[in-house]
Amino acid sequence: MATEEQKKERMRRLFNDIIFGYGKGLWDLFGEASQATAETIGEDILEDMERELGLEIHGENPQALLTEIERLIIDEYGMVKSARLEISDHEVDIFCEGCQLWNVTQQLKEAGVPPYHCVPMMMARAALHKRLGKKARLIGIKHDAEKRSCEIDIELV
Amino acid sequence: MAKLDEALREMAGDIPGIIAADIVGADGVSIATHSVDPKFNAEGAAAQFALAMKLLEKSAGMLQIGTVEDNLLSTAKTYIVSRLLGDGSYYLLVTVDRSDANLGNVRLMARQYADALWDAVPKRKM
Repeated sequence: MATEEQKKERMRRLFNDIIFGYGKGLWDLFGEASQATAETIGEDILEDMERELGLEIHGENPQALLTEIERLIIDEYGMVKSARLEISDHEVDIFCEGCQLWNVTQQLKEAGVPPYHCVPMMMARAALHKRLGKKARLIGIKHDAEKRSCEIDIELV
Repeated sequence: MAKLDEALREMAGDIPGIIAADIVGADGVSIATHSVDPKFNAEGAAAQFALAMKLLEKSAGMLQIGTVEDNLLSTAKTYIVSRLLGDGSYYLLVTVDRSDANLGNVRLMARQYADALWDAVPKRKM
């Protein structure tokens, strides 16, 4: 019988495979328009955090919002080992290492699909829009396979 | 973006019954909007119609009936005309109150302003 660690790892791989299937299927059907679903999912995640976990993202300062998202995805969810979300005039740079969705991100990349399912990105987009009325769109991603890290750039519109 | 906002505002001024006009990326993000009715969820419409436009393009391709120019949705209260711009990476979305608007005029204005709107769209990095 599998140990608890093995079960967790298998479940994580299973969820990655399911997300890949849906992500790829949606992309095949809708192409770039699939990204229109990202903000809705981000809003749902934020709502769920507020309702079920009592966690709330406060503030009117964009960098403070993003820093709070960093804390939530590392300390409250264990989604990534480390993260840095930084805002400049027209862009937000999201740098993550040790993401639980690393495998699906790689699979999608190999299939030519951008990481529109990226959780920190969806949360950042939804929070910036909901709290500050700022819209954002994905413009690029860089991967470092050795470090299992991603750098995702979103542009403020 | 000021040029795009101006072109959109000018087009909207030529359409009686206008509720909202948006320039929307293929990713569903509206980059310019002119909204007359604050109750209308223009951002939601932008995202929804991005998906619809992609499906229509796919369907037209499968049926080999030529490229999509525009699409009309008629509801009890509105006409919603969506028209692809330039290389298809953006589209124009015009929502009007059907009791005040003339459908022919809406489609004509969308067609007439399409090139000017496309010229004013800032081209994306990616």
